[in-house]
Amino acid sequence: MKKHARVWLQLTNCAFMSYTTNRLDTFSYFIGKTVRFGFFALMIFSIFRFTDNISGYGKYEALLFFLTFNLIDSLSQALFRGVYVFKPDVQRGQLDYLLPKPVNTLFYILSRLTDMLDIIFSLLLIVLTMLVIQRLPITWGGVEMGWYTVLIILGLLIIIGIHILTVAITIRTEESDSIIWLYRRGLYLGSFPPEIFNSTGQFLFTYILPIFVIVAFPVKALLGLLDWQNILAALGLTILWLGGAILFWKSSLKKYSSASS
Amino acid sequence: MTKYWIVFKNRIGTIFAYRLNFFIGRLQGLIMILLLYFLWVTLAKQTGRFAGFTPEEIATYVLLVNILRAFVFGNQTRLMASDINKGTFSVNLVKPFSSVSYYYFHELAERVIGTLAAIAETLVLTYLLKINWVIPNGYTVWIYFTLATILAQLIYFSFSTLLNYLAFWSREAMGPRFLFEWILEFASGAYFPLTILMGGVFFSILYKLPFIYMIYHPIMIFLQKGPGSDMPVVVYGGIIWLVILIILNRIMFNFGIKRYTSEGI
Repeated sequence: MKKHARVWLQLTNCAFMSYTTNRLDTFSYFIGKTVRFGFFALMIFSIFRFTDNISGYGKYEALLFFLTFNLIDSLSQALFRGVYVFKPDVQRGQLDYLLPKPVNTLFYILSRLTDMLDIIFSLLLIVLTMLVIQRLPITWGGVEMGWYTVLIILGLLIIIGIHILTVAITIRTEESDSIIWLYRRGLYLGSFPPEIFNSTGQFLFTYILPIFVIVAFPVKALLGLLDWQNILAALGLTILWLGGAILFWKSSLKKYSSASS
Repeated sequence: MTKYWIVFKNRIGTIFAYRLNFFIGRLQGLIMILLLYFLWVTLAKQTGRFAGFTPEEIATYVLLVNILRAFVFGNQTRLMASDINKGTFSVNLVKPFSSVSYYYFHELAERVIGTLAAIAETLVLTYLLKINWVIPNGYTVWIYFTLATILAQLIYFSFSTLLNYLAFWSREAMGPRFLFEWILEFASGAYFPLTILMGGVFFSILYKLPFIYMIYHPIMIFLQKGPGSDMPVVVYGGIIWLVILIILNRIMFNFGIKRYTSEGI
């Protein structure tokens, strides 16, 4: 554990130096992320000029869905950016150099590129989320806050599973970098309450592709709208996705041919 | 013209060589359209008429966004900046064709295939979700809609090229492009009808910018409603912006090419 923490700190330090070297890109990407966030927030505020609820959720409840989606998305990008640069390693056979390293290969692949901008952005989002929670009738430190945190952690574990699946598929097909983007787009479905979708959509994005488990379940738990059966379902789906992904990774690694190395 | 046809044809071949990526790319767009469709239709049904749109009008807006995004925006717009940064842009300078036309036809292939796929997706969604389209009356609307759509694509391409020329001055052209693409996505009306911002300071700013000609104006012409439905004014406005952008492109290229070092080749 200590060794991996040291490796992560070193990799993060390297990423930080890269960000400070490419200052124009860094500045533009950060402003771009802020603009994207700002426009979506503007869209939500504008919606509430015409109505007082979205499928029964008030303004601050809707904002909580949006902020939780952003927080989970930013955290996962901050920590697991390495997936986005993995494809060339397989195409050029450079995975050979990663496998013998005295560090867990999956850990290295997922975390070798820390997104500093998303770390800063995540901190801002935590502050904004706390400000929105203050506007809702929720007790600080109450059991709902506990479930909110636990379910966000479960959501992040499912996301790790999805990232591992992407890595494993890349080893098998070498044509799958767009799969991670598909997941990123899919996560947007969680930026609004799931009730806007019809029953087929709600079932599909809860149990087949668990977007609502990742984003909507924590929010619903915080609002006291999630029963214990759904909490158990979240736990079951997390074990299924993470466990299944690790098994698939192990089987995919056996197919790695080291071509072009 | 034959040489550009070859560029166009070759690019189509490349797209079909990477079918999985193309398919997943389309799926990404479809997910966004589903989110927007359910969000806006839910709001329109909830209130009967949301921001001046009936459920049918807002559904038509969202589905048309899917088609126009494919035709106007495309996917391969960063190639020129990347070529300038890598030095491979030099190849275009010695070949007997215009480099701008080369990139235009290269991107056009992606746009044409994307538009055909978007039309097919839209038809499937119309059938599955039982959507009633708002179809305009009279051929005049169709003519102006077509003109506005073609102008939208040319304005986007000119804007995109202008940003790609930044690569002559800096190796860090991708960050500014990322920023531009997000401003464009929202300011063009690709996520929501800009009418929902009406009355506010944002709407008056966005209304004066060229982005609004890319998605919002063509769809408003199609729906014959709201600001932007004054068809000749929209088309003239689009032509003026296009001319301004072409002049700016010329100036930027003439200055930029003098700084080009072919570094990295």
